[in-house]
Amino acid sequence: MIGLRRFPSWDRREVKGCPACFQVIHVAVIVAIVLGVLLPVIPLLVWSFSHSWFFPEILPMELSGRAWTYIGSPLSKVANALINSLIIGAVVTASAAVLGIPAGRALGLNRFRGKTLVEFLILAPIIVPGLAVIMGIHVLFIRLGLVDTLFGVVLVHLLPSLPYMIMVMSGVFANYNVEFEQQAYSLGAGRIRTFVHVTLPAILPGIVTGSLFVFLISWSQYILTVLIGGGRVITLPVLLFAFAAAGDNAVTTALCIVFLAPAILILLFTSRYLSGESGAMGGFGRL
Amino acid sequence: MSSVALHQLSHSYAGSTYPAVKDIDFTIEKGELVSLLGPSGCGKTTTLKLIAGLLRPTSGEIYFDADRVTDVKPERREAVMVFQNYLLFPYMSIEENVGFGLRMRRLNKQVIAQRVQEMLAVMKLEKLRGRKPAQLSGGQQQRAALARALVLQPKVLLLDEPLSNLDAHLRDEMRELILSIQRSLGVTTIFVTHDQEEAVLLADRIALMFDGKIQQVGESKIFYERPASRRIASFFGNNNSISGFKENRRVTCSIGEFLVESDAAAGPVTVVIRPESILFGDHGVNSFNALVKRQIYMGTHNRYRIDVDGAEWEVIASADSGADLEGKRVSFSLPPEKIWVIPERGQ
Amino acid sequence: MNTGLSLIFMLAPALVVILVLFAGGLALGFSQSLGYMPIIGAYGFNLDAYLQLIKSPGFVPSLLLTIFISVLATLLAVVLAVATALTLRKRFVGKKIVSFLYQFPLTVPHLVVAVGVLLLVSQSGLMARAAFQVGLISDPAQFPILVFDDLGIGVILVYVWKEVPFIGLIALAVLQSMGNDYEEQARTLGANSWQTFRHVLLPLIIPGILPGSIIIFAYVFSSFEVPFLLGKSYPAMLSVLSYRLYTDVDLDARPQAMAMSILIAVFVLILVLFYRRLSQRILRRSG
Repeated sequence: MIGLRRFPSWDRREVKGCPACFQVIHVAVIVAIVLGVLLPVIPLLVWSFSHSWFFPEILPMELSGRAWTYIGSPLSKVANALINSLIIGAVVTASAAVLGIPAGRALGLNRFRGKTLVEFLILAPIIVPGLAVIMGIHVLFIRLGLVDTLFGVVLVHLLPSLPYMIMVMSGVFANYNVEFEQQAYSLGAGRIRTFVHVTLPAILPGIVTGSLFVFLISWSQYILTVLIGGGRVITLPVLLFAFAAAGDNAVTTALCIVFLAPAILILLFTSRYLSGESGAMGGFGRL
Repeated sequence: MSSVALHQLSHSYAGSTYPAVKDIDFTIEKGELVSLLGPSGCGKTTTLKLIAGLLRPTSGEIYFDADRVTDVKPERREAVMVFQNYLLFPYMSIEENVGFGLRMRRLNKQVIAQRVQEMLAVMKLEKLRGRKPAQLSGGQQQRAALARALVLQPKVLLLDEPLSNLDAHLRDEMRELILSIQRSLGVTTIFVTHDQEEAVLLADRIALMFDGKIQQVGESKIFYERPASRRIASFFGNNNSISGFKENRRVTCSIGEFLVESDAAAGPVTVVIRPESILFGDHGVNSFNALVKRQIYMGTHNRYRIDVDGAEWEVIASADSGADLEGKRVSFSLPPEKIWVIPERGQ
Repeated sequence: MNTGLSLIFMLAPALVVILVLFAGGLALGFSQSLGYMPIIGAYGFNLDAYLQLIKSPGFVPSLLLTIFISVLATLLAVVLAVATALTLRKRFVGKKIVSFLYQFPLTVPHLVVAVGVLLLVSQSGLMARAAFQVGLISDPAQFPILVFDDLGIGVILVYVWKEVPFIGLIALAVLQSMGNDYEEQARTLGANSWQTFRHVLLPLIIPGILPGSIIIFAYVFSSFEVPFLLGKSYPAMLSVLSYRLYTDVDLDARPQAMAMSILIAVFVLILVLFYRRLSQRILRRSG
């Protein structure tokens, strides 16, 4: 059956290769990651404790706790802003989870007519620039009396963050086998027990990842808060922006660190879900 | 085409203390079709990847003919592996997939086109050339994956479970295809399988692996007739074995004393006999009584499950006798020349 | 899996929030850009605001700068993300710490990064000081201008620092989900390391990171805080122009601000479509 002609054996043209190069590149990339990540953080730490630090000194000439004392005092409104930021972040995250998990499940598990349209609508708020939308919403909220309120700020924070929750959850549900739930029902578990003992453990990495994204988007939101909060709802980024624009490096950097701390805490708990075997980040590739 | 020799080949995966493959010594002749057979996790795919160069041995050497290839990178090794799930590149057409290796070698475009064309014809893939892998059936994907490897005219062809993802009827067809290609090209071929029947049907020789070691090598017949251990007998479907002690030409065990023709040394042994070699009735030598637990009619023959000192043996006999023996104690005989005696090695 | 009705129940809450806020906001913004602002007694429907904008001298330079910054930032982020993801999926000593550091920028708000980059690369920043100490420069003015510069280098740095792990983690998830098999298959078919990357890994990764890179492109194109803090005031990025117009004391500037935001949205949509086309074509050719 085979009429294959013999070829002169193995006529490959030499292709250049360099095994050592790959090793060197590998190490170089790791070093670059470490340095690259840490470099912009270093001046923040040092500046927040410096009193006077002029060019060309590589270290501050005089250290001081002035910035930290100021931040701790009621005068700076930092405590107030911190609480506002935390409340808004928590409420936005919880709302996004409640709204986003069912939506993600619907998209991840099903094919239906108009799915592309629904996906497009859900993605639209993060593709279409927020400025155009927020200025319109501003007018709407003025009429509804929602400007300058915490509730109004929570609502607008949902706009850029909810799509992330839905995307992550739809990615997780795309890899989820519903038959586990059906098995649980047939073994006599009710709806709630099935959700708690079967569904929840399977989708938890997704919920954690999605919540992380939502919280961080809300936590670092400046422009939406300023426009809708109208200067009445003071959050950390609003304060930070004011200080940064005013140019007081010590207070600005101290505030930066306060602003960073909760995020780092959250990452400590969620890090394994991000790069782990769970497909939580994969959702971004699927839509 | 070249022979493949493995010398004291061992491999441990990073982070694992237990070697996946240990001290493998094995030579595959030029043009031979050899099966690495064993249960999952026995190290057979690891061995295949070592030969392909995808894994580096922790110790030991690999030779293709007289050339030491242990340090040769996979892309230069001229041993091409076909993976179990075909792994056709999903974004390339079948034609592009088949030409992949030739393009990587930067061959002249016309040469590539010509060789791919010939290979597609051989594999009857010409009509599917423009399709993407996802648009092909399992059997077609398997043929494309084979074409992609064979178009390179490798010295050694490595197949990982080539038939396991196919339906039963496709499996026969593919087995014949592999066999005819292998025979006509004469390419040295090593294929991995967990299915002893597949190995028996396809391979010139079988190398049976357990626990990272090659246990027995030979033509398929010896695994049925002269298994090297009770475990091998059992892997080939024969559980008719019993431990005993050999002295001269006699083996004493819990169901009696048996005359054997084996030259095995005196000492503890395992006695193995094939289901179709056991005779009904007392034939004057090596007879014993056993309870027939179950009798199964199989059309051309009957299959009996009998209780031999707590173990379950199988007896196959002609269906002519017709009598229902289930639940009865019956006498059986073991012909001495059919008994295979395995010395127990200090266990 | 689900009946139509239960699908609607699962999707509706999220869709209502997004539709009301997003589509409602966009519609109101658009109508205002046409001059329909009942609050100040303007009931017109015209393109005056758009014409004024396009005719204003700052518009074209701002548009070009915005395109330049967002294209370059996205490209750099994607390239670095793929390079780092390829390194991070291998085993190496200290991988846990490096992975954690790699994820860290995800949690850092843009504002904090902007402050950090400012204190690092400005002419009196940490790097300039280091350059002075080792004798590379003798005066701050000799250090290259990297913030408040014509090309928005500082702005680009901030976005690249922030977005590399976002794309990188998606790429990592894609790489992990496909395992080593495709690479091994390519190697045994004769592809060397570079060819394996170029002809096998890259075409497998690109579809996965495409949506993520579109998201960051759209984000960079329209976000406001970073260019406001680190960018030159002329030409400024479009978003900064829009914000300035919106917060102008003269309410007549509002339609222009809205028009600018709508234009930003239109540009983003056009560029996103173009980008999709382009990368799909590259993908098709890379086999």
